[in-house]
Amino acid sequence: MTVISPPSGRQADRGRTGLGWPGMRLRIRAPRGVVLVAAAIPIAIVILGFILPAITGYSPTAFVAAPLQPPSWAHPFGTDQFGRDVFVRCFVASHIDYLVAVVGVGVSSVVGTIVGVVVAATRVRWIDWAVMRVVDAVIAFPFIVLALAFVVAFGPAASFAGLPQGMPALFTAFLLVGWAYYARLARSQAISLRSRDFVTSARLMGYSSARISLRHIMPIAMATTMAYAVGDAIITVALTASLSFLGAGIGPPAPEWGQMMFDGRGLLQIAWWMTLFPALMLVISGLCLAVLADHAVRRLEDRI
Amino acid sequence: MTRPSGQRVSPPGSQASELPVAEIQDLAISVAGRQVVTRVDLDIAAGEAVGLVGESGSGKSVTCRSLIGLLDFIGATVTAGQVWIAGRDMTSASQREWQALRGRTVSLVPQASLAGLDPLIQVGAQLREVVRRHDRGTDVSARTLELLDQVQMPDPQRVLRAYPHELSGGMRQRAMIALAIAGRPALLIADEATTALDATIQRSILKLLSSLRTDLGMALLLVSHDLAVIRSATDQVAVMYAGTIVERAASRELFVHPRHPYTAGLAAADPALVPRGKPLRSMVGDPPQPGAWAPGCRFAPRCVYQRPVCEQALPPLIDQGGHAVACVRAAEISL
Repeated sequence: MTVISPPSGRQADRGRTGLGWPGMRLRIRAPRGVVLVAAAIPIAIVILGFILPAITGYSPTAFVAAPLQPPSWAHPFGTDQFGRDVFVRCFVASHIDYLVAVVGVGVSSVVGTIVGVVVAATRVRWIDWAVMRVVDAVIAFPFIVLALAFVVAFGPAASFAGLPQGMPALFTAFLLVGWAYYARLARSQAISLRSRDFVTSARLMGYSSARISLRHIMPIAMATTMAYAVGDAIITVALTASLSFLGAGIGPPAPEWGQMMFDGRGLLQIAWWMTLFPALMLVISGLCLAVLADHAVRRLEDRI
Repeated sequence: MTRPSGQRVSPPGSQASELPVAEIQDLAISVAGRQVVTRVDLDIAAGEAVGLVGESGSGKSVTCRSLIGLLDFIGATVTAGQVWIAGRDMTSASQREWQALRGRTVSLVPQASLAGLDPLIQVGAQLREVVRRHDRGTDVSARTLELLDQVQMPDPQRVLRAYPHELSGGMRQRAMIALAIAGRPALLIADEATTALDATIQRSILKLLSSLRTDLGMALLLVSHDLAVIRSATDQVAVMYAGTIVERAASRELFVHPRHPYTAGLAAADPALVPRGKPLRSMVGDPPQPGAWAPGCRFAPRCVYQRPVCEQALPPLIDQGGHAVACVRAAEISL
């Protein structure tokens, strides 16, 4: 699930797992301006998602024009097969996609980090062993199949607390799988940190293992998993879109990039805009998150 | 202060007048089934400065760690003997019991390194936390500044706001010392506390440690490779070789009149101890690997005075008038 490959040859120190090997990547540090733009674009997309329906007067779910209109000044991204405005839908869709990413990644990273650090700190060997085998099992299971199973289990129209249908199943799937990656990462971090000198110093001051885990190990493990989480968010957005594309994600009529691309796939030759623009939104979001993730990892490297 | 092993009958707590802050009796320590320390005896009286010298791998650090209960974390276990801290038998004490002593009764300044301080917390915050732990209800900032003053920290206001990576190696080590003395320990262990620093800073840190010892009335266990510093900064010196103490005497006495061939070899190879113009002589051979020791005297394979008698048994440390030697031929040979 990882996109961040370790940026440094000292990866073993950090215990960060991931794709790639030391020195594999180009080491280009994004200039500060690029990082700011990368942070600004997703925020702008979300804000536009709120205000565009009001400005244009087009509801993302209303049939506002003739179907399958090509891009024009009135409809910059054209209209879909029902005559809905693709421009407005593209921006409004960011709310669902980003929400899934933020909640899915946010909760699983926090839960996973806590599990990993606690498991690493426990003196009871078999607990550590058992939890890590559960982690292995979860990671070994194909995610898409699991997510499809949840959608079936929750029922295709399951919806509560005002969430679009399909979202509860998605959240559950991301949570049940996501934490395992973070637990593994945080555990390896905690174990490598445990032998670091400042942890020994803390012991020399007479602090307990519990306090050391909480005060000294958790923040660094958390910083590492957070840097990983930013990269993971890209994957989560892409997975959400993939699941919708397979018909197991967010159900219609709520706008969602994967769902929109799914709608456009049969009409690609006559209405390419239905597929291209949601795909571009996805790519742009991914790029911005990748730059931010890279920046976060480097900031972390400077400190630790 | 010194005695051969096995002589003590009553625990040291029974002599209230001269309670040693730390005492090790007949200690043996193993790491992963291999013995790394054998039959070590060491006691440190209140306010006394004791030096511990020896090559890398001779068991100095493990001995130091046994005095602060950190053996578990390096996978080492005490297989024989006892460790007493301030009159309490800590040989099989739990981590919880050790936590109560660490920083307050015994402190350890580890080898200088970038990683001794938490990289994500400002130095000032780390100091204040430790001050709060030791002195409830005092003026924390005043005590923090006092500690920085005691360790002669340059520019204390900047240091308080700095993160560890913003400080030089010497400043970090001063901060580590400030953390170590914050609980007013009765014994400060400096385990090669200057090894990673450059030569001029090494001297100033060592000077600082010995002035702190007199100012604060602590006992000091100084582990160093710098024999000249050991000689000037300590009252007693113990020389370790291959996991045992081979000689122990008053610092003034030891390097001038060594009685163990190993100590004599060390002294003859140190430019600071050999008179100007005299040649330096290095010892032949290498120290043995831990656990792969000769059956008798562990120094025998390298010793120019070696005789068959040396290989029969590990020679006990025998005290004669405050100068203890573990050499069966100590009386016959003249060094």
